[in-house]
Amino acid sequence: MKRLLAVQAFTAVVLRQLLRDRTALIFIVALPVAIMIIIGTTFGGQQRLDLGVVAPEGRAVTERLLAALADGEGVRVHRYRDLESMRKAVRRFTVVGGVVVPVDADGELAASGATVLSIVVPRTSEQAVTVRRVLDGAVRDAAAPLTAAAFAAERTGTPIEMASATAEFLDGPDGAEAAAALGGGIDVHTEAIGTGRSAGESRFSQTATQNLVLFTFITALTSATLLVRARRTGILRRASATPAGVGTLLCGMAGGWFALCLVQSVVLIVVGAVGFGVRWGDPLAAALLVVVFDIVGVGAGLLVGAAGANEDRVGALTPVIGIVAGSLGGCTVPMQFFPAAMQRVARLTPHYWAVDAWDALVFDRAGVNEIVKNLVVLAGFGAVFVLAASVGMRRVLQSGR
Amino acid sequence: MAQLSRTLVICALDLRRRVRNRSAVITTVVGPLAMAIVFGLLVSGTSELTVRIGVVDLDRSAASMSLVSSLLADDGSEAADGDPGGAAAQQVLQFVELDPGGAALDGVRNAVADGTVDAALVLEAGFGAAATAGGSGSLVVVQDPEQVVSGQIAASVAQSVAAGYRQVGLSVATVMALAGTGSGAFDEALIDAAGAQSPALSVQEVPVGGRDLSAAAFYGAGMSILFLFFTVGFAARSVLAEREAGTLDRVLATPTTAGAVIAGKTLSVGVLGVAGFVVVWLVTSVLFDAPWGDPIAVSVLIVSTVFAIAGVATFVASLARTERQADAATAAVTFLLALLGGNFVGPNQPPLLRRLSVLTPNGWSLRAFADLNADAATLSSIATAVSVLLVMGAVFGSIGVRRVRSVMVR
Repeated sequence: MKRLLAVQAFTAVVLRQLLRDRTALIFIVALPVAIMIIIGTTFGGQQRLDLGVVAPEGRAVTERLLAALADGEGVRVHRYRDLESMRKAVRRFTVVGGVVVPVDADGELAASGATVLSIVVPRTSEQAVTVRRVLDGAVRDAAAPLTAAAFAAERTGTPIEMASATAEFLDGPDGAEAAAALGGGIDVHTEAIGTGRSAGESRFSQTATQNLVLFTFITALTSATLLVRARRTGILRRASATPAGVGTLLCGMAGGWFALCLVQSVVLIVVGAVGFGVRWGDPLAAALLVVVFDIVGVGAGLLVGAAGANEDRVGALTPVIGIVAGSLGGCTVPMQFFPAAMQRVARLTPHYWAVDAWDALVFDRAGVNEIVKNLVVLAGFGAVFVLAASVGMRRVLQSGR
Repeated sequence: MAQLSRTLVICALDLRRRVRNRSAVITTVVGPLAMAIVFGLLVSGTSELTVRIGVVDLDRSAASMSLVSSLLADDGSEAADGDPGGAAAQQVLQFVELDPGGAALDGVRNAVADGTVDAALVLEAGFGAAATAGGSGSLVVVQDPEQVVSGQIAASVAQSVAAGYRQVGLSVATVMALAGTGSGAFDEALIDAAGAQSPALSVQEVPVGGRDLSAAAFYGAGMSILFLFFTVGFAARSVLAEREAGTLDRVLATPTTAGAVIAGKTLSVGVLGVAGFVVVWLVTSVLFDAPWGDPIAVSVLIVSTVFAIAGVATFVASLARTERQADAATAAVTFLLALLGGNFVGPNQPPLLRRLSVLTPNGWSLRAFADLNADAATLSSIATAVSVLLVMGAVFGSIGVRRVRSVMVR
């Protein structure tokens, strides 16, 4: 009972210390929320295909091409003044590819009935295929009435301007029926199937879950600095001489950090739900996941604190460890964009299992049963970290460091 | 002269302390390198991707069967005219015919949902008649919102197919309208000729040229800039720390002036910042074969970036009264600027973020590094970035130094 009271007292001291620390508060609340807002606002929602267009203003070909590109699936057009600046943009990945309409495209069409557009495709093969197909679809779409006009002018000997006007009319809403009666009336419908994860969810859902995992782990890791400080200043050695013992002190410190991580998790969950409409899924499963992952984080913090020798060095290293491990586990770049080898590496981090479980809860409306495997793996990480930390700490204290 | 030598002594002392402490090595080299390597590996490409698009013919007409066989013959590795730079060497797009069975559309939906195919094109009953003889017919694109790229490719193929038929229909209709023959009369020869007409708009591929932005080089620069705030902000923070510890008064009791102390400390963090940046530059260049661009321009940009960030970081730290406050303010400003400047999000920034990034020194610097790396820089673009960085550094730095000096002699 006395030990429990001692643990409580240590926990209270640690919490008080932490809550006075403005740096810690920035990392705990303000930063994750700011990142959630910026990433959610700028990246959330539907993914876009950014394409460049170099085209003279106010020409028929330009208008047709822009209209056809606007019909394309998720296409966003960026205008450039010349081919070279667009090629630079492709190399910088500002756009994935682009198309150039010759300055005298309309004149060439009037004179010869045809003109050649230049397209720029990226070097990566899968993006190159996407860009080629999307531009091919848009160019063919834009070309249909122009080709029809050239064909009709040639067949009937009518001036191209008149043939163009007729083809334009027939291609418009008033003439469409007449043209469709002669064939070519194919409607394209798009049907979205599957869970449509992103469709029904807040655009902040993905970044909110990733941030929760990333930042609670970083917060928990920061406990390492406190532990090193306690060791360096002799607090642990003095505690080992008291009836409470080192174990009680460590439990108290870990308890303080665990409580802080819980507070941070709850704040982020509430801000996500109230401010950004994130639905965190089954409450029981979400609570279990938060608790287990926070234990993993505190365990990792204790381990780094037992291994680290210098407060400054540990302080500099913990955010790096936190961000690197978080990035490898899918907290910054979504897992589906990882190369296959990195997806396998990701499983070695606790973050992967936490992000995967949150994805299941938030997007697939899973319950505890569906994330049992993740919880067990995370508990395993936590047990290994805490065990390794206690072995390391015992050695450190015995050696008097 | 004496003040110069004192400045150098303070600089050397600070450098020795920080290097021996090893936390400087972590913030200047280990941190940025680790993050650059991780981000470089994570976004180094998903080239193993193959998009499989299912094709289902529910119409079984001559037109639909002909379309299906032409799609199946399309192995996705075609290039338009010109050399695509070897981009299409591997097959990344594949069309496969799905057996509709009795379930028809439901079967297709399941095939897309369970990942048998990434998207599907369904030629509905009536497709052939609509395509060739009037009436309405549909081409349905079945896609999974999770598979964005596959959905875009399938939708574009459908757009292309529909445009082909539309062109024939329009051609025939235009000829009939101009010839005054009215609609409804079918002339097979005319339809065939319209189908054979070469399109008014054709495309020719032009090479992208230069070299692509390297993820390792981009994140190497991005992360070096991020960690620079912590490295160079140390100058002002250490003045505050020395004041709290009482050592500052002892230093100022000697002939060393406040200016020499500030200059020495700033020089030491400047040297550390530049050295860390250069190590990350060299390591990523060798390890990832990621050249950062013209070495002279990169060197100038590194020095002006360190100058700008040193100015901003000194200003931020000078607003604090204690070392702890300075740490908090530096951390907050660092992450805010890193977010707005695009250090975390990679080169393909949304337009809103691109506009916001010009308000930050790291945004200017990162864009110039990206331009140099992608062989997309011009003398004027680099000169502009360097000028902006120098002005930012000078303005914030002079205010910051003045404030720090007043704290020292207070």
